[in-house]
Amino acid sequence: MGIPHRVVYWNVPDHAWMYLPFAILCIVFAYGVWRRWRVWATGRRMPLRPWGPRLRRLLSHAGLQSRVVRRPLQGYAHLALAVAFVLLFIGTVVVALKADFGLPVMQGAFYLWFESATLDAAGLAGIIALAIFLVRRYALRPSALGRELPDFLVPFTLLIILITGFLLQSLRIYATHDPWGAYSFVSYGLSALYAAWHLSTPLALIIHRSLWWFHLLLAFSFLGAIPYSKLFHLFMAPVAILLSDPDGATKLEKLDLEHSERLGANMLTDFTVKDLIDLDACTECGRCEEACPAFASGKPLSPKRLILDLREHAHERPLEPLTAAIEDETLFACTTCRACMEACPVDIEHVPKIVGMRRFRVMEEGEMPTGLAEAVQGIEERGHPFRGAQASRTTWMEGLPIREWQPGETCETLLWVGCAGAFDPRAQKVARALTQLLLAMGEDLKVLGRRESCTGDPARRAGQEYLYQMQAEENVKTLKDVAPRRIVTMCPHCLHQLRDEYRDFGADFEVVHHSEYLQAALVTGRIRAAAGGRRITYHDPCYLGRYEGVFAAPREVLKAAGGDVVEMAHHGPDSFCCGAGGGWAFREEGVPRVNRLRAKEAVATGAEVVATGCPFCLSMMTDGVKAEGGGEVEDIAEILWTQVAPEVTAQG
Amino acid sequence: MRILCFVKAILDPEAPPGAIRFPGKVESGDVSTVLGPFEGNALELALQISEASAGSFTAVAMGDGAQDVALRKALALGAGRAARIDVATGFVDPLGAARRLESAAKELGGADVYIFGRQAGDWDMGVTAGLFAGLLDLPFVPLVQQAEVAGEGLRLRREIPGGYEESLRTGPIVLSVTNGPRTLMRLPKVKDVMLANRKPIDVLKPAEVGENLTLAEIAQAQVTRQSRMITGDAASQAAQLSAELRRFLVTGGGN
Ligand code: SF4
Ligand code: SF4
Repeated sequence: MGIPHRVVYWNVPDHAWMYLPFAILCIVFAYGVWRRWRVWATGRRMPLRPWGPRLRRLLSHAGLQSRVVRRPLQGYAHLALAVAFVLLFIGTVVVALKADFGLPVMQGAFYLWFESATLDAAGLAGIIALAIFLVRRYALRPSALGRELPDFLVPFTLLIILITGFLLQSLRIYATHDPWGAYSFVSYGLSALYAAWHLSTPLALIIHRSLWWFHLLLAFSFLGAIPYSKLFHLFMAPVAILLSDPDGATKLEKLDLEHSERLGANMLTDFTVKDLIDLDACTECGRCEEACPAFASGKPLSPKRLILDLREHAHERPLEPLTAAIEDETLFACTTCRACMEACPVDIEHVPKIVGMRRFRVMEEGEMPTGLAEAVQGIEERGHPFRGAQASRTTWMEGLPIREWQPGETCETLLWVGCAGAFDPRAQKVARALTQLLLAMGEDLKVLGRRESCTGDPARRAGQEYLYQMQAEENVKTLKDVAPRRIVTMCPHCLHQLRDEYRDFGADFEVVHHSEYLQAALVTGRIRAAAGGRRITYHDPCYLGRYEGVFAAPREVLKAAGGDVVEMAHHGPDSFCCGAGGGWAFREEGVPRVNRLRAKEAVATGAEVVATGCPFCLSMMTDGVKAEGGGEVEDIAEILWTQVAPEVTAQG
Repeated sequence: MRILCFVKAILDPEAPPGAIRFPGKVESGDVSTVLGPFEGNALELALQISEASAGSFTAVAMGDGAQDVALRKALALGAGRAARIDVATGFVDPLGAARRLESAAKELGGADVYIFGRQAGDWDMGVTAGLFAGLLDLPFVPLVQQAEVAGEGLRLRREIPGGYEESLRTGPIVLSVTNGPRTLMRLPKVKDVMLANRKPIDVLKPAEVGENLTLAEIAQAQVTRQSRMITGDAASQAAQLSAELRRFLVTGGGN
């Protein structure tokens, strides 16, 4: 029997003709890539260093497909298919090394265990995975998946390629009585069938030879179609992952207002290279759309559609303004909740694109939805977005033993109250509860009072970067004068600004959310809570969870307050927005409202109390939960204070 | 068409109650100064007319540096020029104000259309525009909500009970503008805001006008507020409410 091997191009004496379609394939492929390259090359360059976190993310999200497999069935099927094709690709390279370069690689144990057994297993896994995809898309018909012709052709063609591969191999094993055929276990099984059917050898040879050409041409056509279809994500998804911001693009880019040719994005050239590559990396999986609160509540926004519309624009009308591709209402529907970005398996960054385009619409065209425009005008004119507020910055603290910081004083702990805490009657109560907790801890506490001004976050998210930057500069200046040891805030939007985005304006302060500070105080025993016993569900604010990564602290505080914490269907990184973000807190929303959708989930847990850690979520959830017939909605500070107050009194 | 639009910045009308105090004079504390609401309407109309007649407009304010807020907004919206009549902020005598505006208008070379907001949002008198028209001996259309350039003239629409009325004018005119769907001030573009912050504001010397009125006293109204929550079921709430109302009618709200 000699060394295990097989004859390459067996039964295909005229195989040299394959270099003709191969040459065509190369040209078609190269042209397709060039067409797309042309678009990416117009993007703005972005900083890439440090590479470490990027490479780690590449390994996790592309190599291990850690986000893909969050949906186990289709996720592992996808992983299996990807691995199968990588293996089959290696197998094909080995064949080429042997056939075209005469290297003795296709023999011995390697031939038996890799080229035969492993590749058969890979092919089988691929067929199973594709069958799962087809059944899911066409039998289960989830709405997030498209059912256009290309959506069918891609998995179907792959399936045919794999099946014909097995047929070829089995015919060869059958006709040549291959002594090592059993290693190719799938094909070997098929060849046994031919024997049972008494397939004549001459017929087997004819079928094999025709099928060989069919298989080859189909595979070449498939490869050639890659740069012209969503299959291009095979190549572009890893690039998009590699180029994605290691911090999850939570921080918006500081716009150079003085030197930018245009304020915001309205031409493809205003996007970064990453933004443009994202468009070609989208796999059309629809996970972003499924996660999107704007889409779920019937607003004219689907993050997937947005990416695909931009892709079409980039390829068909690359020199036209983006106003031709994306409507104002679509952009302003976004709550900037980042659910889409968290869900996207290939790290496409939707929010920076949306805000980039909003910047243009707002700053260059003066477009902004009513409600939002008034809130932003409020920030400009009186330093807060709450129109018609009856309070001043210090009304909420009347009667509490707490003072405004005065110039020349030192400051240990600064409570950054936020506009909601100062002007919204409901949030004022949270500010009072939190202050009482901090005072009970013996904290040396001050507030800025009339020196506090809106962080500008609503303006920035709305696209009014100019006003935002003025607010940021002013606030950073004030805070540098105060120079507090630490800043505690009860608003996740303020937290995100003070802790992260203000760094671009020279800020470097220790800033914590009240949940983090209270949790630490509970751990060290600075405060003690009496036992409670209410069933509580916790709503993760987007800007505390997905933006700032704070998930555990608020839950720990609730547990310490004696709460029996139950989770909603969406929680943690997969939490569902309350509907307030991106300026929606100040706008009139149509029906169904996002907060109602979220409140339904909260009520379904059977919890007596819905807890949260953001004054905007508090207001949205209060309305929603009331309408859905649920119980109380409280901030974690209020819940904790209820349990701490008796202890404080007891200690007298 | 040459247009002069008079604007005024006022203490934030949305300031919380009690933030502005009147102990013999106006004390504004931390309350910010903003463009008066009807001046926003006036600017929008001035802009529409200047766009339709391919012209430009000049914004004029009267007061101290705090008025620059209003003038910058006008510049950001597209005013070609901004001028401030430099007088101290304080009590305004409408006739004196109209005289000073008249003299400034002359200094600025006059105009075809003089546009005012319906009334300044702080003192709420709403007479300066009419007095100004009288001084210039020009026709005056108050409370305009829509203006269209018709040939050499203007077609001005204002609301009347149950409908609207339109007047036509060729030649110089004074108008005051009120809020309406067509006079909602547009958002200035940020590029223009940034440019506006660098443009000069001309400072005009106020004309000498005699005093017609002087301020005798300014004081705060005494407002007392008492509130309490009525609780209990609906029937008991109704009973408590009617008892409260009866007591209120008898005592006039006192205890
Ligand atoms: S950020 Fe939220 S609202 Fe905006 S597109 Fe993404 S999922 Fe939808
Ligand atoms: S953007 Fe991401 S999540 Fe959305 S369809 Fe494309 S690949 Fe899927």
